[in-house]
Amino acid sequence: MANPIKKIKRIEYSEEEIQEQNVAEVMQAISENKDSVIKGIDLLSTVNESGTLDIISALIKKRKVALENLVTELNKERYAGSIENLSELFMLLGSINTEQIEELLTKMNQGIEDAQFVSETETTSYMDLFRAIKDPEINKSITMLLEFLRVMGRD
Amino acid sequence: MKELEHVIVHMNGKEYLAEEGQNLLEFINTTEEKVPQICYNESLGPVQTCDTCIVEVNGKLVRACGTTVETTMEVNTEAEAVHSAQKESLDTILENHELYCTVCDFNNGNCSIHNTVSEFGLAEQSRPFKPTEYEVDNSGSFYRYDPDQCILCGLCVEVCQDVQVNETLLIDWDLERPRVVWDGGVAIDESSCVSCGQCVTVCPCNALMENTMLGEAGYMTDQEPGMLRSMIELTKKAESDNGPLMAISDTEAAMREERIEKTKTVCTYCGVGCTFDVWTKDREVIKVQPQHESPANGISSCIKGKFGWDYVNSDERLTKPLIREGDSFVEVEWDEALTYVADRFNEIKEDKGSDSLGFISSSKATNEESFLMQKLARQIIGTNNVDNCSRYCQTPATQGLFRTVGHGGDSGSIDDIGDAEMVMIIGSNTAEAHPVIASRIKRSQKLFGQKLYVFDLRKNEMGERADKFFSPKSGTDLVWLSAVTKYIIDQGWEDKAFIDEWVNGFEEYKESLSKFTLDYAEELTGISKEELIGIAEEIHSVDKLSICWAMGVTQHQLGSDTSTAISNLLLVTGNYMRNGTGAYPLRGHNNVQGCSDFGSLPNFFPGYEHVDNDEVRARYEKTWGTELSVSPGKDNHEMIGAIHEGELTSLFILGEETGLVDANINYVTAAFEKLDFMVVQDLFLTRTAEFADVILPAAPSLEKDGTFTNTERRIQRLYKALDPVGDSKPDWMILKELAQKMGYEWDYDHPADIMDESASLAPLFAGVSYDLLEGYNSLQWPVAEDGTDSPLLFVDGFPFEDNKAKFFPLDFELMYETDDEYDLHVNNGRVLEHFHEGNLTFKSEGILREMPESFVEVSPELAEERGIKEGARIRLTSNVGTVVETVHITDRVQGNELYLPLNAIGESAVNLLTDNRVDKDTNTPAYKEVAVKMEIIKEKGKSPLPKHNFRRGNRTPQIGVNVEKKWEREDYVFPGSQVKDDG
Repeated sequence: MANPIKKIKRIEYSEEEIQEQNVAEVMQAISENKDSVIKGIDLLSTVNESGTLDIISALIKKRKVALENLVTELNKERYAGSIENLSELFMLLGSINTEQIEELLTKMNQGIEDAQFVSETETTSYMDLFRAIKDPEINKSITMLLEFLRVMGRD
Repeated sequence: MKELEHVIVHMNGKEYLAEEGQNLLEFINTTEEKVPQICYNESLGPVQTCDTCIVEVNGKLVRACGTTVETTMEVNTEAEAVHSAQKESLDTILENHELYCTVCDFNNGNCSIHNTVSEFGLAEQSRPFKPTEYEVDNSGSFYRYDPDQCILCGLCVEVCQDVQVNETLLIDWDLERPRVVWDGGVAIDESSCVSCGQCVTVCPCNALMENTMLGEAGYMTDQEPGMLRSMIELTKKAESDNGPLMAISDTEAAMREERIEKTKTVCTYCGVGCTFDVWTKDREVIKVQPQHESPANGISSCIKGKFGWDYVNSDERLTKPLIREGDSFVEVEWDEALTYVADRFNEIKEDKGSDSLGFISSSKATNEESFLMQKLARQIIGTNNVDNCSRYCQTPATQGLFRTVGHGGDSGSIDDIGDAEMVMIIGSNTAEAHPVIASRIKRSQKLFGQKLYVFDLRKNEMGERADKFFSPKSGTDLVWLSAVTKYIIDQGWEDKAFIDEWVNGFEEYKESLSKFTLDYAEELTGISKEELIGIAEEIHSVDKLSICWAMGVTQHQLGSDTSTAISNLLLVTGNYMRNGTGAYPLRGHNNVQGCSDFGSLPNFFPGYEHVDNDEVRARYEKTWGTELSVSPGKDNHEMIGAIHEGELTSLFILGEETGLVDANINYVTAAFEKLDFMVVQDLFLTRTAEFADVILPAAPSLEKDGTFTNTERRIQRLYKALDPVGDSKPDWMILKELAQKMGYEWDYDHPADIMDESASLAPLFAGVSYDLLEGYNSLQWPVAEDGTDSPLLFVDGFPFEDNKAKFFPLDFELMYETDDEYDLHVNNGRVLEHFHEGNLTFKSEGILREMPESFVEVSPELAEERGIKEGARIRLTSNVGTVVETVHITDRVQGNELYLPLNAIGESAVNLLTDNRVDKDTNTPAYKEVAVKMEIIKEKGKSPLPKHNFRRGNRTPQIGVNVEKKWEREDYVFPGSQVKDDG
């Protein structure tokens, strides 16, 4: 004879048993992922030593507030220009001819480097200037500068 | 088959071969050319609302999806004018839809708008987004509509009007800002929406979304509304150009794949066998997405399959085995539970013999689990006492088909029902019990002129929609079926050629019909002679007839005979062996077909081979290494009787709520109390489990692999989406471990191994293997050894010795009537929202909100006669028991007929009223033959049907989205013409 019943007596696990079971699960996971865990600890320790861990941890805990502050702030009118510029600037970058710029910058660097060797007492007279125009390297630089100024001034 | 004519099409300077009459867009999609097509859905075909697929044909800009391929057609998809027109269309769409993909829950890689904008390379929209003044409609239990994101493509309307055919959604093109409206303009909640979810499934963007997706799908979408707005604004500023927006949101979409799993599964409710991808995030089911390639359902679903999965994560799930101790169940570990069960089974077998144990399999569990349950009974215990719940529903249909055509399954596929010229539905509330099949019929009737004849006591939705609705007297279907058949033969309208070639016993059968004159039928059924002749004429006039039936036929004392009469009629008229014809007993549970197919029957091995056939038994004995019982076992009904007789002392019930769904449950539960040992394996502590000595916690479909077989005989795989809760386990694993405890080497590693064993033993499944069932692939039995399956069941004849079907003569005697004392007839059946007794659907908050409690339907005339009003409380008493019900008055029922849904439980359970009368041939309870008397407890009260239930809505039928009304609007300009004007 079995009458209908509904009561269930759950297995009551003691704190220790639950802890034991959890620890066993964690140990197994660690054992299966030894290398990653060690590297992870190393990374964590580096982040901690630099003090970054505290900052990140606090930021994550307060993420809702932080995000709200950030989004509210960025939505203000005064940022509108900057945010829009961000993507404009990004577009602009794409149109720069890096090869030419690189050539130009290399030459500038060389010029700056050589200029260091000019003695502090050395001076240049008008005649020296006229003579220098005849120097093909100097003449090329001046021509380039004038062309640059001309284009800059174009409407 | 007709040969298709091919034509040559010139496109972008190349020549292509196309089919004449093919849709141009569909043709382009077969080539390497790409055309935007936001409103094109391959399951729905061309809708013509979005204008993005504009191409140039013979120098003129047209919608590709609105154009038919013709010979000498010159198509250009690359011209500047084409590009400009497409851009114009996209701009119009983006006026209605704000792009904030990164913080949109729909950003899952499949957003049509996102993908189109991205592929088109639309960097900037020329006109700004214009919000509407409409509020988001959050009123529904399962999904919400955001008019500000809606692009008016109308896919939701198409699917609601012409696929689901619930006819709730429209686009109101007359509004200044058109929008989707429910029942012409009420809240979702107040409408006729049945929550099938198909509108959400086809929505190409985030306008219609499942509530379970909101704030869940994205990494950054779970925000307060104000905050979300701020983030959208910021996103738009920072991503002022669509390029960066696409890059960032594409990355976010890819990241989502890391935490949202998409797993193919098979629905676990009715027998339609819908398949879909279930999206899970951790343990949460956030989306159910039917697929174009889902064989049975395509993109269709119903409220339960789309939204009814809460039970999987219910707090009430059993997580540990339980053993009865005194007045409570005590949780134990698996080893203890299984050792205990194994020892007790062995003891009982030893003491009282193998046949003192009984086994009931589950129509909810997989084929493999049914196979193991019958193997446990036969190989280990040594008894054929194994059965399943098809005994409660469709065994009489199977019997009727065995007698006449030799296979107990649907003659064809759901496609065949859709293709029939005429469908007869007998005793089936299809729209609520098999919603997706009902939709196929509704669609064929609405769009393709299919004739629908419905025979039911109750004017259910199919009855309302029918071309002809008949309400024959309860239990007399055999009479009108036979009378109509006789009339057809008397007129000489039988299919003589078919009968000569394919059917035996015509003369004897014809003789047997002499009793079924039109007068006799009119008198017994209440259907007039003229109407009977009309039915016969209609049947005679069509070439393809399919007949669907269900419990209204089978759950009678003449259930098998009535099913036989249906098959006889189909044979007489030659409606077998062809597409669009045949017999369709609609199976009730997800795997009630498969549970029987795989051998959980007292007289059959898997594949319907008789247990007393020596040759067959020898095959199993050889593989299983043991002698098997030759005598057929007891069915469910006989097992309960045998317990009362003291012959059966132990019962193992796997996933079956016998204590609620068997007839005369007072008698059934009294039997449970007499058992020496009872084991129940289930997800929950069910009513049945309350009587158990041991309860084993099982895992539901989402937590295991396996196969189900639907009503079309279609075997489909389900894949594990979640881990079992707690210590629960899949049924096959529990059975395997129990067998091992009992000393048998069952070494299955995966359900595939079990299927391999079944296939090697049962010729019906010879070629079935998991490899052939990958993903959305399926097989319809019989499956030959080379893997060829049988979408059409009878191709080369019938599985009898001479390859011919048989006419089966029948008689009729009226076995049930109401009388002066028990003067009301109780009909019972399903409701759309709940499945059966509600063990699964009662766990869904949304479904409970739609239908929180059960009720009894009373006709307006009976209510008036008895002086009761909506919400009255009444007591109904039959010859065996009493129930208490709340009254819902509706003209779906008429006169002295009452309708009691199966989800009535506790003191309202219908099976407190049903008695021990059964179908004379199969022992299926005559659930539908209940006479009661009524007493009034309270004359009126609160209506049991909530105000927001769909039954209170008002449908708004039309064909499709009615795009012509959009084109007639004054503000509509065809993008092509604009481009031409500008240029």
